[in-house]
Amino acid sequence: MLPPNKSVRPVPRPVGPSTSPAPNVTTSIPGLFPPAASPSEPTVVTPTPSGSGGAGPSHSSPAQPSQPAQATPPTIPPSPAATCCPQVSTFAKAASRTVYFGFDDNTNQVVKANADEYWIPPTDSKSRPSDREDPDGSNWLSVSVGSETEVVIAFVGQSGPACIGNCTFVVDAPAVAEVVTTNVTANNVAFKVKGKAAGECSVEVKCNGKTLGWVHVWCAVATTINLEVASIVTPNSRAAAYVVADLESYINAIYADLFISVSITDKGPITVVPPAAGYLTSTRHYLALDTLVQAAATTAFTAPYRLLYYVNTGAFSGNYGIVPGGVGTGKAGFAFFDHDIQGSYNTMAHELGHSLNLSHPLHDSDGDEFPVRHRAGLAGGNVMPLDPWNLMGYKGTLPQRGPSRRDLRYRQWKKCRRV
Amino acid sequence: MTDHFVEIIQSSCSQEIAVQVEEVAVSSPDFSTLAKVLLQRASLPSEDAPMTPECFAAFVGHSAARLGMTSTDEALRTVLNASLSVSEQTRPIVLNELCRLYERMPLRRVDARTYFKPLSLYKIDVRPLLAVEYESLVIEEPQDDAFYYAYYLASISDPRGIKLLDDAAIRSEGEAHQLIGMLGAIAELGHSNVRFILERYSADDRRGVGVNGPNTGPSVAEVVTNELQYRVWN
Repeated sequence: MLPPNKSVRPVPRPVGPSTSPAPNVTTSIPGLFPPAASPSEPTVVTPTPSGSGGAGPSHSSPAQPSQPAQATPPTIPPSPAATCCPQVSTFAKAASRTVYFGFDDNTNQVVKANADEYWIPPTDSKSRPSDREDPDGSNWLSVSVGSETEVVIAFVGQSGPACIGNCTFVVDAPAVAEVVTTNVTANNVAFKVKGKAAGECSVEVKCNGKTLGWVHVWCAVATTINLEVASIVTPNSRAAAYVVADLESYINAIYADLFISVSITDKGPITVVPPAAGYLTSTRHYLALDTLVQAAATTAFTAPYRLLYYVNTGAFSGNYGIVPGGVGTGKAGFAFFDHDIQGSYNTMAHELGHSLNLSHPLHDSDGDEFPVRHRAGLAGGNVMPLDPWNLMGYKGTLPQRGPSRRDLRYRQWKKCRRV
Repeated sequence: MTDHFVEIIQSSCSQEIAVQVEEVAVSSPDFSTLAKVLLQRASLPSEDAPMTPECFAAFVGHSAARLGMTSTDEALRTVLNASLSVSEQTRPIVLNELCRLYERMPLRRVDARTYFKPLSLYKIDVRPLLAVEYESLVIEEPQDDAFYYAYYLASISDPRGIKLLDDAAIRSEGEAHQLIGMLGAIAELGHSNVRFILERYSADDRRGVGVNGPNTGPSVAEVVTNELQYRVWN
């Protein structure tokens, strides 16, 4: 609480002379704005046995007291004689979309079959690589802080409630996420992970110290980005046809994988005097239009991001969209058509991706979004064989893109701006 | 509702809006929804969805008056962001209530952009409230805390803010794309006291990272020319 003798004045007050900068620098303002979260030591979750499910196993695990489902460290260690399932656990997308967010099964695609997978053949054992982007065939889940994501956990091979019930779930950074499901007794059951703090961790399935499988988790704080949309009206361009609520829903469905939602304010059609005659086609003209519409709007553009329609009153120009200011520089994203409304929404989602710092697969020059092994064998320039419908790629015609070009992957989740 | 805002809301808002503003609790999810609806109406008023600038301003002021220690961060963000959309002519309606809000607002409730942009727009001096070591602040990118603080200082003509922004542009010179991003963000201030920063790069032909990869974006000179020519400078 601020001391009562300090006050806030509506006019600037004289300030003293500035001083030279100190050698130790800071870009954050200590004590003013929320700090980032940090991970901590791993913990182990042992599911509570259900007490049901067919013939019981012959093992010597002590009976567990009944207790509410909690992701807490075990009080009773697994018995050395407990039966373990012979093969691996895997994680797959849940059928219900309401409780799962992002699921990336491409980032860790194996480079060589039978050499890199985290599958464990019956006679072998394997340990989780320390590099979560190791091409070991494992998957990434995304979950937001305070929410749960649900996937299907399955046990391959000769498994059953008895041996499954002897599995433990080790989270290597428990401050980031926790396993919520404590009663896995059969194959293909819903398995929930809850996000606790921004960061990354891995959930490892173990039995008697043997690793049966793992999945990686990316956790972030859900955020809402304010966005404004308008259409530019000039002698050569008209007001676009769009429904702002539909555009918002469309974009939110795509970016739900990484817990970014947009709140769109419609600025409507804005008439400006263009910087040149004719239908404008150059970057410098789009930059000018972006600045002109900001000055001409009924209420000021205040959101950090904006999307503008520039629809030719003549024939369709053929250019789908662009961010003329470049990737991640805060300038508007443009769409040049509206005759395919879903396609134009998809284009807007794609251009928003550029504004949020995402690149095309072909143009990811620093390789932080699309690893080289994914970019090898690109077909058609910006379409990757194993990730053809990535939002930032170029696959499909306009009618195809609307429903299909929507995928975003782990590295893109990380790269995307969140403010 | 406080008397001052009651009068304005009752005289400037439709009855439908007046009732909703009176009934909504700032701590409820409905508040953000209502704010969004009213902001949309303010942006695109129509016969079916009328909204006057005075009504919107009174809503913002009235909402600011009701925020307290138990209000959610979301409510605080909503009010501060909404204050940015109050028309220039009606900002005096909101000004004093916004000052009081900043006086009692605990720090660390919102991000730097949300905190400083209203202060810049309304020219509110909160420097006595902030224990900031100016000397150690360095801007690394246009989204960090130091940038928005410098932006704010420059908006109230504090030379330290102008110097921070100028230094940030100079440090960004080594990489065209970074410089373009920094200059574009500085230009949004629209204050003539930072024009000299942009003018220094009006002949820099290096290109940034466009959507088609490195060197396919606009040149520094194109960005500068656009901002100096078409932005409204105060």
